[in-house]
Amino acid sequence: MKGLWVKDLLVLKKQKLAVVLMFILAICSLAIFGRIGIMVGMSVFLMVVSMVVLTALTVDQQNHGLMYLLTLPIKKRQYVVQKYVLLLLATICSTVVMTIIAGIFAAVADWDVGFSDIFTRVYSVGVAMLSILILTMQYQIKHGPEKAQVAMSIIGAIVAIAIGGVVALVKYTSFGEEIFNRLYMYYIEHGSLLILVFFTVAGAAVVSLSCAKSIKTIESMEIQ
Amino acid sequence: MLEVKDLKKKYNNFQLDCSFRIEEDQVVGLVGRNGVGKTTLFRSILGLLRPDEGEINLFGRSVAHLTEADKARIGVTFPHSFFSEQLTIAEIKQVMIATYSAQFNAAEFDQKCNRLQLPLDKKVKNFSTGMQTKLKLLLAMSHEADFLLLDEPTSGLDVIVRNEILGMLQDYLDQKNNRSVLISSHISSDLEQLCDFIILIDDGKIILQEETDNLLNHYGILKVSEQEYSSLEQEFILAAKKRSYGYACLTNERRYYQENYPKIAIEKGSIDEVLMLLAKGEEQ
Repeated sequence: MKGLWVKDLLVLKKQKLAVVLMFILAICSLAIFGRIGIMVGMSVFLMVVSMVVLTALTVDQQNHGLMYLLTLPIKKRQYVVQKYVLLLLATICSTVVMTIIAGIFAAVADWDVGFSDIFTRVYSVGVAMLSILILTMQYQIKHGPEKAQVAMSIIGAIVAIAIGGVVALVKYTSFGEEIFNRLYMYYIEHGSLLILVFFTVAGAAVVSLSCAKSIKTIESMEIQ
Repeated sequence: MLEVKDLKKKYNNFQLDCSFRIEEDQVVGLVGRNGVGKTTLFRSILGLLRPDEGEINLFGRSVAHLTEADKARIGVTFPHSFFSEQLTIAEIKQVMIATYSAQFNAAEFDQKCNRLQLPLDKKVKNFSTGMQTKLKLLLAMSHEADFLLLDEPTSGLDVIVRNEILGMLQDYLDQKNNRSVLISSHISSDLEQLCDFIILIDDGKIILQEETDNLLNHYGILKVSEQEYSSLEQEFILAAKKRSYGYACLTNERRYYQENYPKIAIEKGSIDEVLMLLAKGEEQ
């Protein structure tokens, strides 16, 4: 298993340019969109992180590489768990880094946003994005990188439509507006703790179920 | 060391169906044309696919339940599967050290790379086929594996590199007792000099399992006219195929025919010729 970590770190090291790009895009988002940029920036940040992390899986799957890797002293289950942990760690690091960047930006630009508010926004986007990425990874483990790219685009489009739908509901219907106001009031009165707990439980459920499904998939699939 | 018992794996219009054993200290060559099931057999042995029926035991344990320690005792090469081509040998070495710990002798590995003129800092994608093959074999032999599974290690190489590869393998076997190898190739001449035992496979089935010495010393090809064929003692004829001159017959009692039919042309058959006579089709 240690070998897998070393291999992935070596592959990730080759993606330095993507990491630089990630920082530039995150800072640009904050500069252009202001406070909304915290969530936009985190989305962009995680998009780049996901591409970098999924590259580690793609590299394994290209040229029948997985077949060779699984002849090493590594169990199929360990392989899957390592990839999930890698994505989880990358998301946690992204959340911490984006929170710090946004915090610094808020202090410098003198935004009226507290640190816990920044963290809640970054964390919520992080968990939501993680769920999408986890599903993409699950799909990629089963079907390979090419199909996973298509799947990721479709998932991205569905999410964009869903977000657009929610915004439209809130903006153009009294029903949507009422629900949004209630949620917002709840957030003002009780703080972000329950929201964070909800996102954490939901995220943990998605990660666990997806990981279990991927283990089952790789145990039964023909490696070639 | 390895026992394959009634292994069956079915695909659309292909079925692998075979049984054999490999003892300790034995080098077994698996010979067959492309697409007859050699790689499927290798993948089954390595637990990369689930057989429909049968058992495969390695080191006395079912391959489905091999531990990490068991897997560390196996060295593998595949013709088209390896680490990412973006990595350099120096990076692959780091992965191997992390994977095999003390079993991987880094200093010796460096020395061998140097001897084989494999640059440590160049990406694998820039290597020639010969260099990649040498590297794959070197890695398979770099962690004191007791059992090597080498799928077509000499495929696509020129004679000089092929001999170099076979020399590396022979050195590895000479270093320590109880090492076993299952090596596949469709270039049987490579295996004649290396293997103790030859398994011929065709269309998913084993058509012959024989000691290499026996195969080379006792098997023969009788080239006879149709008239000679009809009067030939058939008891020791294993297979016969029609040829332009009459029949080519495979026997495992070459001497018998040399003594009793002195006028018949009898050749010491190569493994390739034996395979051609035993395999389906190929009628001329």
